[in-house]
Amino acid sequence: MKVEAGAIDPREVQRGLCVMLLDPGYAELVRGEAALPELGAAARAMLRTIDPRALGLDRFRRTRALQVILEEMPVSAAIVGVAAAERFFSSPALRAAIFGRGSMVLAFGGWLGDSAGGVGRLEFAMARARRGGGAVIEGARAGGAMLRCSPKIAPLVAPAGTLAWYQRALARLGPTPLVTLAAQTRPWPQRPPSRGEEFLLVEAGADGALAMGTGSAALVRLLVACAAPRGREAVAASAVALGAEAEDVAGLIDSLVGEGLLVECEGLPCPSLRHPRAP
Amino acid sequence: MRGSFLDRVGALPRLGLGVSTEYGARRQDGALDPAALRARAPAYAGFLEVGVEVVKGLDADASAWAAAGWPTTYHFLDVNLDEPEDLEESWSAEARAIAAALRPAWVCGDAGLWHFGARDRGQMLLLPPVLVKASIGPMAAGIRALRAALGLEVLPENPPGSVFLGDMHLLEFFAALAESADTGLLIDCAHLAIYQRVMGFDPLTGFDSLPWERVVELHVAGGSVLTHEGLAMVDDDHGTAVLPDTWVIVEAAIARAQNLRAVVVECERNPLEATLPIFAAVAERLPQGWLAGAGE
Repeated sequence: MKVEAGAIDPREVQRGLCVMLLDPGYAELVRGEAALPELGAAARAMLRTIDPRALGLDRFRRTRALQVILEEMPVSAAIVGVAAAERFFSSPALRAAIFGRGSMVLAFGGWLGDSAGGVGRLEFAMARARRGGGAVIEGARAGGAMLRCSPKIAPLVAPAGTLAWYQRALARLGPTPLVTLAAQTRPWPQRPPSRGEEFLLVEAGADGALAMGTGSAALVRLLVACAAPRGREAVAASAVALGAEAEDVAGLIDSLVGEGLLVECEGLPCPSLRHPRAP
Repeated sequence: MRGSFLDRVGALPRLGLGVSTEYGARRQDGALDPAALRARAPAYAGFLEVGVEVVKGLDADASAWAAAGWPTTYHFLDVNLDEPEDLEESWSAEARAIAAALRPAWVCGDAGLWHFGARDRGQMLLLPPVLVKASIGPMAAGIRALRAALGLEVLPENPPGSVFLGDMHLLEFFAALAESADTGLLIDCAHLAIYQRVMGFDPLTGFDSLPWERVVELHVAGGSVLTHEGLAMVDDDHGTAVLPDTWVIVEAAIARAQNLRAVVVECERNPLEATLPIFAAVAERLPQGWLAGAGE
């Protein structure tokens, strides 16, 4: 398996190999002629030398990876069906996560988009909160006191009744959701709520446990607006637009900071929900 | 740490023959209890090599072993040495806390890819490094950074694999890595046997390219041959059947490694009685009196 190693980026090779291990279709693409912008010519030439059989030695690698996704987003998987969920492994979203040093579960949540309705977005919010909001890092600004939503909190505007529907669905999956999902790979006929609005807050505690509840429309919308770092003036303007009295807004922001809902940051990276979506 | 590694190695203790574990390993049915092994055959469990994934921490067995004041080494299971992002301060702080509890003689671990993407659930695996010169600099920098962060020697280990890419022989690669990072080495004899077999080499191919005076630790483990679509590969299953090629490597390595301080038998998922013959077979191959001086 020797190839001229000039101009090789070893990390690119390893990332390509990881995708090939999880996605036989990608391995075929590497061996084919279609353009793959994430791989340089030297890296691709090296990856082409791999005996395809060696990629399949661990027959359960992909299953284990899928299991982790299903454990975190079981209701979403029930709504779209396990077979559809597994198609994530053949998606550009998985490649982006691996080549971009991202989180597989978060990439799945982004790829899912609205396919599982507000319930899917709720489970995605839970996954983000568990990781302290650690999605794709972008949008940092240098200097100045900035404010952003706490990375431990995921605000969400979802269709009315989403939280209750989610809780019923989770109960329906039983004490061992993976077993239930394995036995029922087709999508559920029941669809999650799609009308109205519900304003949700998901918060990760210090021990990693999640708390979920509803908040006021204005609060949740304000926190959503603060997903990226913003100047205090911009946050104040959003608060006023959402109904706060101008003379109260400074105190309101201070109280949100005091309660840990907003955090101060100095050009720190922020989470973005920018992920490739399911086709 | 001052001086070159070949000066520093003199200060490393001889730990002798030891056994490995990782989080929860003994909780599986029939798995080896390291403390029971130490009670039954103290020379076979002179130290415990604790496999550590920081997010999991130490299990009760590893904690109890360390609390007893028995020797340990810290084997990381979650660091891509060539990715500076992996040595973020929050991880380093937790690793330091674990090291403080274990008081290991040194840190070691496979110099490979322990996770794809971010260090996150479901993303752990182990792939060997790409065996090209471009891999060496970043990995050496990671070894130096980890050594500084933990205040302990960091010994890179040759990982297992079913796919090895690059134009360097694995031993040539690790020789260059050790020189560049000015560190010692852990040679896993079973992993090396797998590499030589995958590449179609004899078990001792490339042996002369390794600076054996840097080899501080050896691993010995059983493996089994499995076949997938006609492709025969060795599964590094840590079973009780050590393959003949591995023994050839073990013997040649022991003969060359004049600064050898520790030999680990990796057999954590087997019943105690089944593991004793491997320990005995390794002990037979060690120099006369080498075990007697361990732990001093």
